[in-house]
Amino acid sequence: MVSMYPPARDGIARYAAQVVNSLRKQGDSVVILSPEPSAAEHHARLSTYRGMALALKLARAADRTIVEFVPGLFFTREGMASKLRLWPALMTFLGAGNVELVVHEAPYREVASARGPRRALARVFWRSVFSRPERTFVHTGFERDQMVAAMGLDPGRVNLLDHGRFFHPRTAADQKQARADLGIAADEFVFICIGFLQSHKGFDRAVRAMGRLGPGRVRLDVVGATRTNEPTIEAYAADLRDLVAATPRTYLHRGFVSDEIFDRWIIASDVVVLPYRDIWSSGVLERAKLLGRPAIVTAVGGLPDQAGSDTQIARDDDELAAIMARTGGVDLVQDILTELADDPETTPRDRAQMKVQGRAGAARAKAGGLPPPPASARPLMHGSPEIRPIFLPTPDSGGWLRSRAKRLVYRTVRWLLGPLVAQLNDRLARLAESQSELERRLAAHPETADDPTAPIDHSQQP
Amino acid sequence: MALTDSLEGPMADHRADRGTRGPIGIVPTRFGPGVMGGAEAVLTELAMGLASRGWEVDVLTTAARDHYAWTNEFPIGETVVNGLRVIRFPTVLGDTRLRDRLGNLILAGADLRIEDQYRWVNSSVRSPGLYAHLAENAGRYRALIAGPYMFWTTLACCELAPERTILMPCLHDEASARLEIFRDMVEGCRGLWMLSGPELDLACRLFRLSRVALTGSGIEPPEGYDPEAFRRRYGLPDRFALYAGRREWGKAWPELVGDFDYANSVLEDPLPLVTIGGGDTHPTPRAGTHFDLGFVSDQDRSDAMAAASVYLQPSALESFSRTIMEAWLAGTPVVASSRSPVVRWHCEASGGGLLYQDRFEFAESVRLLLDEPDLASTLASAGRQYVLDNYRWPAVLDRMEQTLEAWT
Repeated sequence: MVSMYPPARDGIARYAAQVVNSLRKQGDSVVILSPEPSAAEHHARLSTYRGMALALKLARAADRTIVEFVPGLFFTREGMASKLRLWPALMTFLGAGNVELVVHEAPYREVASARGPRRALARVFWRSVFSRPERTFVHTGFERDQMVAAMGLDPGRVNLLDHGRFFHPRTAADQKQARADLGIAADEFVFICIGFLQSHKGFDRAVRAMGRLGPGRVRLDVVGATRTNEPTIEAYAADLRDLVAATPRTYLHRGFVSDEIFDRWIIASDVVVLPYRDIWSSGVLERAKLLGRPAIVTAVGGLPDQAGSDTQIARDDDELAAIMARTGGVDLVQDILTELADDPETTPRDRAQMKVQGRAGAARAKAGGLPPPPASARPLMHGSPEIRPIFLPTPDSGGWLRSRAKRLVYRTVRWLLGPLVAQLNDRLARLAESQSELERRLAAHPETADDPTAPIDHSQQP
Repeated sequence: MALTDSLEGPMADHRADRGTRGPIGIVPTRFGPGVMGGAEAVLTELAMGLASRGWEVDVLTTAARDHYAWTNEFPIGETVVNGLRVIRFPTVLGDTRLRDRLGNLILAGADLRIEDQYRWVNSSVRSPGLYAHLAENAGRYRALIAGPYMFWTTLACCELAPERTILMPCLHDEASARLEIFRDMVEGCRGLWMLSGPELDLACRLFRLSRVALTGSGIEPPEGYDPEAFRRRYGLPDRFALYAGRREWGKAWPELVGDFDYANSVLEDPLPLVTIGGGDTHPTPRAGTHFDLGFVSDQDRSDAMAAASVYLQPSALESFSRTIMEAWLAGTPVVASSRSPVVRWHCEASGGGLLYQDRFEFAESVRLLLDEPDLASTLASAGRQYVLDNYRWPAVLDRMEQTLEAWT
């Protein structure tokens, strides 16, 4: 097995561990090679000839070699130059005669977005890579079609591998037990979004959809961690937290969970929601199917191909909200408002107001805005910006030379700026704590909210 | 029975009367005779204590004895140690340079990316065999007990089976305790066993905790002490100060040497320092005042505690400080750095130790205890009573069993 491997915060590593467990349960002896030190028996940087030599040696000693492929497994830099440098060694390894390449992130977009000679070069390069192994797999027909179209591959060479083939349930809990463990009432209808918190997973879309649902005992639990703490991902997580805080009946459970707890969340739910903006294929959907939970997915990547008989497909945000409402047994707010507006006892002004609210809700959801605060909420500091931690930007790649230069600068200043950022964040965290404490006290004693000199009753403190 | 005197044999000798409760898997980084370390000692005695109360206990660990070299000294595979089923897996050494480089960034307070946090942990000593075993067998155990928090084996156990892992984090107030990977580990595990009140306070400050218990740790009083025989055996003078533990900067060994040399420069009669345990002896106290005995048997260690005039604890990073308990049990007063909240807590609660903030207070503490034997005796008695009242294994095991029953 050549793959990313745990301990690591990485979905492919988790997938690989499940495949290894499954093979070992069948009685196979499995040796693992990972690009970073991990629980694998061997590790080597596969972006180097030395790493490729070890991979080749292990492949020749094995009866079967499975490569859980994402481009980052072999190529740590963007651009074709580094890929071409590794190409001879990679082709030698892939041609070892027993290599099965399971493609999790096919680079068809990279090929399609290139122009002119670069596109031709990328097309030839990837076609050679994916044609070389004994067998090449993807998880969905969508991915196969995209690869065939972008790279000119022979469709007969790209096989389909059921994403959930190696998956086994990791919890023995039933829904009642799971809900009791997770603190969820037995009589609530539970949607969950589970996985890494990042924009392309689109969990915010499900939260916004919840904001459009009318009264009823439905809830949405968003469960997951950030995969890295790059600024864009942290910013997304912070926005998601704000959105959840402003949206009733939604809950964010931020943290990295084990396979067992992952499955327990799915078992505890009634429906798993995958409101992705972009994806190749989804392990979460496979786990939902494995555990017998219906799913709602958006029509992106290979998700429609992966859909089971219990999977509903939403083409846009309106449809997502409508499906969630229907599935959860509640009405959409805009439908309720329309009904009220049609009531003859409703005054023209109220009717107009409801119409405004209904339209604004849909428009706000589309624009990605936060719901307005409830009328009872009183802002603590009018216009005060929210206190968020700051991050050192990571040296994002942008071609080989720019990437090298950015990394050099990053390494040169990180020792100095890192501690400063940490200290600043420490103070920001204390400031945020103070703000929360003040808000809490004001909430407990609203009569003193406008009087900063009013004494605070310490007996009320927890 | 102390582990240095353990009966180790193949599985064929395994006693038939395995416990009926459990099974419990205990996951220390190292286990067996000659293994040094407070957390390892606690997990070892815990394993034996639970087994004696009818729990079926497996110890899942590495084959390493020494935490500097991490070489596979113990036999790999299944053996029996004092009636416990022990399964040892080989260690794999990591990239020390990478670990040191990232570790220095962590110490400097740099905001390390999650990938680099994992890189840092994965560049330490790993055990893929232990990981594979846990991946396959974790579900067989009613509970897994792992610690301390910073070791790869602990992270692997908590990531594989947090729903059944009770973590004994042995937490210190240090930069690595604030890493995100450890936050997820601590907050996601089944429950936490804390060894002291200050450790619990620290955990409450750093994490959102759902299941946590202040269990403390147990100390098993030895059958007896023979300080005279110990002095004769090693040719030691009547009066000496003792330090037992790892000689490394993390345990404030360099500071202790500086403070000790200063104290000897102001005391009328220089006081020798006896050290037991491992690690680099540099820096060393001035010539003629230092006796390094290296690793000694459990009985010699107990006798050393009883023979010493004063026991020294310079470390700020303590989650329990087992050695001061051993000193108090042996009737020896303690002089300890006030930088450790845990040791300060013990000294203030017991009335058995003096705290110092600098070399001047260190020297005066030592001088006072040497000049006033009655005071030294009073402090030592109070310390001994404190240990007997709070940290005997039966009481600690009662607390641990209560949580095992409630959480698993």
